[in-house]
Amino acid sequence: MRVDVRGARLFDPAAGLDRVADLLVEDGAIAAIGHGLPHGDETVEAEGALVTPGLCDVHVHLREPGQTHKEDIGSGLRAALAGGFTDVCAMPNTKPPIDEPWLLGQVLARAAGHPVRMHQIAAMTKGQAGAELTEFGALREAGAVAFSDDGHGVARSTVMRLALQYAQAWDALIVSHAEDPELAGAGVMHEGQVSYRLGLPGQPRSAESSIVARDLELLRDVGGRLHVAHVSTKETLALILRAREDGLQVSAEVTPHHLLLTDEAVAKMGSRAKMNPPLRTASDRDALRKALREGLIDCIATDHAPHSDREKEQGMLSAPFGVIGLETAFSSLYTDLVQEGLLSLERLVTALTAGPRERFGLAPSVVREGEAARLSVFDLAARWTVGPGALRSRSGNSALLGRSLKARALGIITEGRWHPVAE
Amino acid sequence: MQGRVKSPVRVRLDRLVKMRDFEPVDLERLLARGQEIFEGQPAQQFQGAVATVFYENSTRTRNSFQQAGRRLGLDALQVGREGSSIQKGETLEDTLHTLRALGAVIAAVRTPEPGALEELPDVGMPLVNAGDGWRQHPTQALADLLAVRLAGREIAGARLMIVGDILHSRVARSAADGFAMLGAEVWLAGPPTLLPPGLAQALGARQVALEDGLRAADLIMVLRLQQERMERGYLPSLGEYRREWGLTAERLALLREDAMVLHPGPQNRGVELDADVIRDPRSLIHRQIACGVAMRAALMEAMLDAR
Repeated sequence: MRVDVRGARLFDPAAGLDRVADLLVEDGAIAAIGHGLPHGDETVEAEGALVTPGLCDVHVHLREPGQTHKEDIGSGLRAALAGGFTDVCAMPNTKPPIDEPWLLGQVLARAAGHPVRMHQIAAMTKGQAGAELTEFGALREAGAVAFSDDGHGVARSTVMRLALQYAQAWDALIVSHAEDPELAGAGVMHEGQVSYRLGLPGQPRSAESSIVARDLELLRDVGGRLHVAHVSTKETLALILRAREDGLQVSAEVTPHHLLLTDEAVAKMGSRAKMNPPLRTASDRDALRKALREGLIDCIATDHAPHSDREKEQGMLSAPFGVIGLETAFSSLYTDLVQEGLLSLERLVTALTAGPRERFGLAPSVVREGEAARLSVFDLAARWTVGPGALRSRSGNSALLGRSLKARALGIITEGRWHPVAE
Repeated sequence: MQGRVKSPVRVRLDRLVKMRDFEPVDLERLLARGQEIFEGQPAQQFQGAVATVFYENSTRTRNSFQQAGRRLGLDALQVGREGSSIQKGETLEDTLHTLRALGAVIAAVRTPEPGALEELPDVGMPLVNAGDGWRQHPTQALADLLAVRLAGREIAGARLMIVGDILHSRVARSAADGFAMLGAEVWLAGPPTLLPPGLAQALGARQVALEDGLRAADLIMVLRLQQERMERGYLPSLGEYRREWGLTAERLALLREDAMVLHPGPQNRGVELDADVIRDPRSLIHRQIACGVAMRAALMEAMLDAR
């Protein structure tokens, strides 16, 4: 099977590549890059398009098993493809949580054969109850790429300390959802001017940063590798910066919504802007953008969290936390940050490709002859409106509904084939 | 002849969610109309019923809406939490449609969910927020504004001090908005756990020390302290609250001769205020309740007339 991509801008910052050329894929690998290459079995006419290494989202919730009215592996991976992702890492907070090897094997089997590869993060504690560690060794064997109790803060310091220690037997990554459950309490948004005005219970910024501080001190104490999920405050960034300078093995991700929105969105769109950690203030958002520009943040991850309209329409106090993000991540960041001169295309692509792949130990994707072909193709000139009809996810809980965006994925190349975004 | 009376107020409001939904000029006209109704002038008469839909208990506010409805010739329909369709999981929207089919022409809704009425689709009748969680309780603010005006006090330029649990208070939020809209200056005082930094700024108000404020304010609004705040650890004891932030008989002596004291009720005597304060001639507490009926009548008259 041969696929040729004609006339695209081939862009791979890690490989130092940025040129307009044809690209030929043969038997799953990049066979040639150049001009006037022979046609394959399938031709992708891509003049003006952008070809990047395959996008990788290390933080998605696909809801299977247990909550397939929100999403399932199939619909979630179709949404990933529509967003131009070739790889996603599913979080284990399904019902039941993915805390045993047989469960992990089952979800991976459900995802097999799809153009987008799903990797699975395993629960860090049994039942994600925050008390007893899961069998890291057996779960690694079954394919777990990292361990996390994401969805819940780990309240007990001893449990986090043991996890960081135990994971070192496999050099495994611990992903921390940093939230002090007591400080976050019943808060449904960021505690500050907007929550005070709206009369809504708030989550203080210290609910996140105090746990990050604890986790970093544990890392300093016992070693290990820590990845801080969905960073939302400038205080957290300062802590990570210091830890990095001290040589600790810590990385961090940021979501598109924390890069693009602030708590003012809650006043405008109510529970559609309810997420955890909550949208913070403009100064936090700006600090996150700066950290992404400067490389303190290595990864952009969507925290794609589907919920049905019925669940989201309950109002701020009762609606579940979360927004979907797979299908809008690249487009919204390209439109609002790259086009506005606030982020380079190079940093955007790196934080969606090499950054997360390297940190999570996934196979690298490099646009170079001889490398495996995992590629994403975007039409940067496209214009589209985020609406229920335009989304593949089973749920429509996007905070960007109604937004007009530039750039859209045309498709991906994986397993030696071209997978267009179906109309 | 009563049926011929027309509301002189034109509030183009189909739904009152928060004080900022009013234009200041509407607020002035509505207060003038409320005063007329308070003084016994006949109100416009309507067919149908006022529905009170209360997801939280409140006898006073519910009765006030029902009494106000009677002034307008309206029957009363009511839905509470216990034994009602609310408990059976019916949505607020469906409940309101049912009440409308039963003859309701206007509804007052109390819910724990801030902003619940804002997100609701049209239900074919005007809606009044009768308290939404910590956010707003606009008809309470209307009552307070009228009580102050009837006491002969100009609101523009007045200094209103609100004392107590500002964080959890819809009364404080709607009063801060309403008095500020008519030109008053709003001061806040309370325990730092219930008046954290930034809250005053968010409400367009200024934070003051209790006793400084008591000496200088024209109007002092004492908020009810919920027992629940003790259980959640915001305060160590009711006794300490009274000592530090209560309007005690001793602190009453600090007030100016022409100051006035408001309380949204029901009062916890011996906690946020002493019994002496309620009996003091400077207290408007009892008048606030009668003003509540008059302002709710004036508001519903204007909303129904505009349809």
